[in-house]
Amino acid sequence: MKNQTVEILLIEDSLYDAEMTMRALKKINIINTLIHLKDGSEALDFIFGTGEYSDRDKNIHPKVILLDLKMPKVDGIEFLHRIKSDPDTKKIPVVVLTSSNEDPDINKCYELGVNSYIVKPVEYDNFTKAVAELGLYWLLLNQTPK
Amino acid sequence: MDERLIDFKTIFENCSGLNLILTPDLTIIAVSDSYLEATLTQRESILGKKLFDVFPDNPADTLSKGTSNLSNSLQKVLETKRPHLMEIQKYDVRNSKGEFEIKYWSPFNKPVLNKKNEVVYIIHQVEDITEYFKLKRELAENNKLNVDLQSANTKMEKEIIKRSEEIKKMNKELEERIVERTQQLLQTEHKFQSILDVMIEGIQIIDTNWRYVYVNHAVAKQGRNTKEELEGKTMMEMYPGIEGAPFFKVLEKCMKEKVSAQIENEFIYPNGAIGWFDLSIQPVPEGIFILSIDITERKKIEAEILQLNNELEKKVVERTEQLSIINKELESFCYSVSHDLRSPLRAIDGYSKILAEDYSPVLDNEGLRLLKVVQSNSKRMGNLIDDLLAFSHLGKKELRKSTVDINKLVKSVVDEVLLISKNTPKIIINDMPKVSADYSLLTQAFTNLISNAIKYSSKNSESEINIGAEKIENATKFYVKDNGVGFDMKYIHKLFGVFQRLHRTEEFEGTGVGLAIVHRIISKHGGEIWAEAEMNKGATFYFTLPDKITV
Repeated sequence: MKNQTVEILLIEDSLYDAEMTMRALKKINIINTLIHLKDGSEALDFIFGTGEYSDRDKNIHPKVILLDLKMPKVDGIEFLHRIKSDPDTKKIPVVVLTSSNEDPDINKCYELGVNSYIVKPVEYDNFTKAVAELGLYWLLLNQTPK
Repeated sequence: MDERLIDFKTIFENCSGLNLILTPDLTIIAVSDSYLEATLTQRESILGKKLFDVFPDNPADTLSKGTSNLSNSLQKVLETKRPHLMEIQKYDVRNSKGEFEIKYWSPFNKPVLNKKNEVVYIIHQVEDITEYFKLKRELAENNKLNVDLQSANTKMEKEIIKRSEEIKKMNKELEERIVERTQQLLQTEHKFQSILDVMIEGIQIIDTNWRYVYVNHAVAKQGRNTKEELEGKTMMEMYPGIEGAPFFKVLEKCMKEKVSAQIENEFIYPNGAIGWFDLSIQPVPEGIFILSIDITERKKIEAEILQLNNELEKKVVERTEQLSIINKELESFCYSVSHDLRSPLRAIDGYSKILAEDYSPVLDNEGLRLLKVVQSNSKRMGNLIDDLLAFSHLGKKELRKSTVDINKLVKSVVDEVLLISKNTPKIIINDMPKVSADYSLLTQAFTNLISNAIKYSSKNSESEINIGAEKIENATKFYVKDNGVGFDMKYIHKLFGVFQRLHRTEEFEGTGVGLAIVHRIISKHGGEIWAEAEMNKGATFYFTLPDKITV
């Protein structure tokens, strides 16, 4: 499992948001290789093959990272900073998920090189729709540079 | 000798006397040469003529009575047949040029009687006494002049005596007054000196050798010494090293260049204490005059004020910092509200949806209804959060003024609102003037007012909404009027408060933020908002936008 191809890396501390995200992606059948990590610190270990993931091949990159900003320990901004400043990982597309477009960190995300961001709507239907569109775009339509 | 051979005519004419022979009708029949000479006439021009035709009165001499006197005398002679000696007559004669010459005469008229004792001729004999008369008159005038002179002399002498007496008196008075004035002056000087001595302001006169000529008590007090100690001493003796003080340079300049100056001077006493003095320096004949006012207290207060101001400024800076921290906290609070409250809300909504999707077959109708309640409330809470955020953002937002076509703006707002509205009331848009305002904020305000009007008139089957404006002094007054449910005016004070509602949610949906937002938008523009309503008869909302918006 640890070295298999990862298509989507979901970094989200809210189990409920994560579950709803996964349910939405499952509905459009692109859930095959999604990995959910619960905070930035765990995600960094995963990406750079450290700590718990020291035996993981760090050269296997996910196709897209869905990143929540507000997380304990290492937050979304710090995670973003780390992977966008590393030449090996900076090409991985990152989509930021945020609860509000009032988030003052959105600008910072763009400065750090985020690829896009979406606001998680309160209504479940809209939420599902947004996540589904996002998954389709990044996995099926967007061609990441090799 | 035969009397007939004697030429009496020639003899008569040559007689030395001034004789004229007249007939009783006063015709001249004979005249002596000397008479002609004296009267400046020619024999041919007067013989056979009437006496008064030849010798008329001088018309320039209006007082002349010559002819009338002569006429009277001749008449007397004719009547009395006796000679008549006339008084001296002024009887001017006409010369060849026709001008009159002044002449004085002594005339004598003597009748010549015939045997019948009738007057046949009158001998008019005159003496020319003009020269004599002139002389006599000059003499008389001289005498008069003498008399006048003498009396004038006497008068003058008297006057001189009188005047000299007056002068003596005046001199005496003057002397008395000088004495009096001198005394007064001395008193005044004494008075002034006393005043100077006790004045609060310091006064000192310093001569060109820097010696204190005069000091008053105030100066002595200011210098912490006595009047007696100072007077007669030089500044250098009193304050060794004073030449080095900066203010001494000013004194030197005033002394040398005879100029005045005003300075505030810090004075350090020998014991190290500090005093401040306001010095006015004036050049005077003796040297310089210095008026010194002790401003130590004022300086102290000034320093205190300065310190207080500085402290105040520091406090303002501190408070501003605190405020900006609070503002930042508020911002992050708003973010937290939107983020942290939304997250569980999303879960509530999401999981109830999942429940509905996955378990609707095993839920009965009541179970499904309860789920719907959960969903509608989570949606409502989402709206509350959104509105609250929108309201709090208004505070931060800056006005972006432009000329706004209100007619167009209202038209597009109405179209938009009607799109999502359940009912379609009749909406009348009256012509409104263009105003200077923030387009997006004003759109928000009209959106809230118009959607409120639609919402609260939804239960009226013939609902009608009127939108318009009128120009008032320095502003434009807008109104949005409906014929809906209205409200009770006794709750008007709650109308524009945040989360304040005058209707229950079951009656009309809403979060109670819409009017608070409108109120804030209008206030931001410097305008006012108010409303008039009656229960079940509709409500009218008014607001003004000033012509000149000061941001």
